[in-house]
Amino acid sequence: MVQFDDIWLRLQNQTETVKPDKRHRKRHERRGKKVVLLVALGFWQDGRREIVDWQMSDNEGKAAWEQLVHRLWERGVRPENGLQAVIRDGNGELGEALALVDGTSVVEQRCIFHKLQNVVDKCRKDLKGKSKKEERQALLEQARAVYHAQSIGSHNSVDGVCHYVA
Amino acid sequence: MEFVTTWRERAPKAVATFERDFEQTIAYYRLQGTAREFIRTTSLLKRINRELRRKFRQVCCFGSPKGAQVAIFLQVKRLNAGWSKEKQTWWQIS
Repeated sequence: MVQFDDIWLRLQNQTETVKPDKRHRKRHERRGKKVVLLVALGFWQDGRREIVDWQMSDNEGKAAWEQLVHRLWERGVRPENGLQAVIRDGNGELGEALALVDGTSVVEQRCIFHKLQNVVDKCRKDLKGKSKKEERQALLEQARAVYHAQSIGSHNSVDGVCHYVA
Repeated sequence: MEFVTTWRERAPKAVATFERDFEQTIAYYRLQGTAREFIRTTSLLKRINRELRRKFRQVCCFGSPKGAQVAIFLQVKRLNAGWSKEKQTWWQIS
């Protein structure tokens, strides 16, 4: 199984322009920027895990993700070699890249933590103000309970879950 | 679903977010054999990111892309050594 996520870091780069510094030496001008590091973690059912690959890029765009996913695919991270699932956050462009390279044969799991976080963010907008704090908490607890309840209710069948949802 | 019906009127946006790609959030039921806690969130990877960020904070701002790559490589190598089943020497994992 493979997990994908990203992390931001700051980076300085030399530019072409040459400027004299305080002691009148010629130095290249440096410019800082933020870049993103895309990380892929692979783990196996026997508990082994390893950082399989990473990629630095300017943005979390589709092109960057695609590069990473494609490289992994070439190295043999494929469904026929035992890739069971891909776990990712709600980044749509990563989803597109995965769909392009792997197709729809792989189980995609959206990170529940990210999802609940987004729900909380949205519910801040819906239920504004201090007076509605308890309501917000109730909403979050119930949203959490949905995932919990299903894990008790129907253990082994997806049909069961879908039925429950419907 | 009970959650959706209770909250749809009071918090429409939140419910919309919750419903979007709901099928994908429960995909972990299809997989057998691994602990569900591992496969339903990216928390394993978040732990790694924390470890990487520790390095980034020390450096504050990397001088060049090459330097950043090297720092990441060293950190990743150390983490991978720590997880591997083979016996490692102390300098490989620290």
